[in-house]
Amino acid sequence: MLTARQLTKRYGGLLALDRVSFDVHPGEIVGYLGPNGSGKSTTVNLVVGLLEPSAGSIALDDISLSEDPIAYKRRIGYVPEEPYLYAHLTASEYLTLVGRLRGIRARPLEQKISALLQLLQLHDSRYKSMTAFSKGMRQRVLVAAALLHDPHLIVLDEPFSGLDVNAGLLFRSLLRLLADEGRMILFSTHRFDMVEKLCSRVLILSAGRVAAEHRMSEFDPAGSRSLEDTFVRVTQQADYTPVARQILDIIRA
Amino acid sequence: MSDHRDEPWYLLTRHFFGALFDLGFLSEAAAESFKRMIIGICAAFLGFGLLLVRVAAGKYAYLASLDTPEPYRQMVLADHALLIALPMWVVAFVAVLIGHSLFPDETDFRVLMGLPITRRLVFGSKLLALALFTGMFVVGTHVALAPMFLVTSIGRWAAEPFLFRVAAYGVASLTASMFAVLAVTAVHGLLMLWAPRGRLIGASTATRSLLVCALVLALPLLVRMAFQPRAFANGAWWLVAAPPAWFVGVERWLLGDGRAHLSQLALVAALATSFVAAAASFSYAVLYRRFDRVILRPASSRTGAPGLFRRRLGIRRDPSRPVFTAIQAFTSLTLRRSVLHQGLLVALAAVALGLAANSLTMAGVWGWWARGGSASARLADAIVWAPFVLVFMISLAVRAALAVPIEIRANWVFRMTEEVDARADQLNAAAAVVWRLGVLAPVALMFPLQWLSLGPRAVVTALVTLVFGGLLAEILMRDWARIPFTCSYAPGKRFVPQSILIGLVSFVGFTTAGTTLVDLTLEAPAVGWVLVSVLMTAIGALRWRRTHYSRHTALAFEDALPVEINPLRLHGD
Repeated sequence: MLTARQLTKRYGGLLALDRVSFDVHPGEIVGYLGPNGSGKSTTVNLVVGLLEPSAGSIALDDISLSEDPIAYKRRIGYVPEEPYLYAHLTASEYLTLVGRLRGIRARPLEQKISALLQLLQLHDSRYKSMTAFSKGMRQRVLVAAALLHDPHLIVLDEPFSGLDVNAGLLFRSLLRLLADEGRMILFSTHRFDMVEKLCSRVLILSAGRVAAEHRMSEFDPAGSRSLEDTFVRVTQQADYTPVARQILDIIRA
Repeated sequence: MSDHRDEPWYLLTRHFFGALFDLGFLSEAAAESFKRMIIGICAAFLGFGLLLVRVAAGKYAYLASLDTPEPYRQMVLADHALLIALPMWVVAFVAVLIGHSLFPDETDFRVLMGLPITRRLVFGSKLLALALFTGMFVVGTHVALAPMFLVTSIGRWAAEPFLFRVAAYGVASLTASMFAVLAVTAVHGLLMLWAPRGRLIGASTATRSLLVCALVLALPLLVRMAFQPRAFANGAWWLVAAPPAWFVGVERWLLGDGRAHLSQLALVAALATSFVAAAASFSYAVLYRRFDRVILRPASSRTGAPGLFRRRLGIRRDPSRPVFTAIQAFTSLTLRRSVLHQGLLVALAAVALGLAANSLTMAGVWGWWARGGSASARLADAIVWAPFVLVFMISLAVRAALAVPIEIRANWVFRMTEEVDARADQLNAAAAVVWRLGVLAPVALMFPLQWLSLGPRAVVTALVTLVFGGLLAEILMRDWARIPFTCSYAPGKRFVPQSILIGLVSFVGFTTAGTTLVDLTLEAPAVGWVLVSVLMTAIGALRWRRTHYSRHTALAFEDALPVEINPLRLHGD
């Protein structure tokens, strides 16, 4: 189980995250929603160990991130929001690099990469430098890299950005299967539809704090208690219709 | 009335001009530090230029005191060749460095072509920005060399009116600089048009590295031109192969000098400039007319064959150390494919090759090669010295290249896969690259020449060089705590003149101590081998230290600048 307790992060004088606590249980896909600047990316960076919290603790299967970061990171796979990867390498080279760093032995790694590239429709491009790859292709490489070592926890930061419809459907099915097998998935996104279709639970973040936490079964998509309505209410989003009107007026001027 | 600063051409030109300064791998703080470093380097060069003027003033005072004008006239030709060559070299080097920005690229195409602006505006602004950028260096170098020009042009034997001389030199030298920029542009343009898209990055990287290497190696030859006044007076055959000499021909032709060989040089200059101008214009014109087709043509070729790919990734090598082989493969692939890293390595390696070649030439290696027999004592010394020069410079170059990041935001993958047990392998993989490229390769390169000239003694020489070079590699990597290319880079951590001084002293110390150790080992083997054993022990100790401390020291992913202000703590708290 992933446990985050009282997570706080300050950037100088700015409080980006304020005493955020949550759990992700095996077999769960937890959606992490919030408007821009609410602290979603900061949380993700803390959970994957790229940032250190100013206060609070994170543990995965009783392994504390602060006490044994290496053992902790061994158990997680991460797909970042932007496809930051070494684009001068080919997809095969990049996956081999990641696999070797993860300590996967050469022969099984080679077979795994070949099969994954085939299934992700990247096999024809395996010897091409990723500089020529589209965002969707890079995103597929990142997903493969995150899953190579069969992680316990998978942290996804907007994993569907740039993916075409087919790849999006494939990943949705894959994430469900991973969850069915007992993996924990933390899924940070802006997309309500994805959360509704995929997640078993949702955390809504606002101004650096957890504003709401619900099981998906508590929502009624067709009725007044939809995820979107809840989001708008708890994050105190203004009614944007007047703003939209003002924009229209400015464009017309 | 609208301000010109609101005009699209102004905005675009400013955008393109600013982008030419963007190195792309420095953080904001590091960019500030980089500017300070550049200012320091400029100051050092300015001091060196003033020193040159002082030397030239003495020389021309002597020439003015002679009874005949002939030595002065010969010397002016040679010195003006240097005065033309230096701006040419600087501007060509700058053009090679910004080679990726000489033409509008795919980003320009995707971002700008979607806007309601004409293609003519994009290309025109790009050309204007390039002209301003290169012009800045042309003007700067000419201003810096103006005192030297004055020294050569004012004197008892100066025949033509001063202003006439200024005009002739100005036209010849500016045309020469233009030739240099156009030549580099033509090479890049033709490459862009004809290289397959899949091979374009590789071809561009290799071309830029070759150009950097050629330019660095040409520098000592350009300086040597200033010492060949008779060659200019008599029309030596090799002048036709030296572009700065062509433009000396132009200057003399403008001044009305009718000597046949100088007129021929002027003709070569005119033909060569026309050719590169035509090639550069052709490239721009084709790109202009077929922007979309050139930029977006399909990438058809592969980066590498599967067998080679497996070898590169170390799949078959040392299966017990996966992290070591992975880091080595990552390093090797980056050095092959990154323009910046390869360029840095090649430029510094070319300086080393230039120094070694210059020393061997001065010691008469070509004469010995032609006639055979045993090498003179001077040549033997130069042959022993050369690998030490290569080892020193190339080891530094490799270390510098490994320290410069690539895709800094992608380093999260290393941060997430960090393992305490694997850290020693990660650091040793970087050290192994310095050993291989900085020590083993130069020793192997020089060994055939050493064998031909020194016979079996070459084996002792090579072994001592290996050990001494290995010690240097270990010293350079003693505090190394990063995976190659993954840590941000902040240049200029030390005062530039101080770095230059430390570098020079280390260079002299390393090469002198190394050659002395070789001599000692050849003449008194017992003492020599004892010393070599001591050095090997030191290497072992340094390696043990790195491995041992790697368990306790986290890898660095952020380079830190030194604290700007050191408090004196005078209050005695």
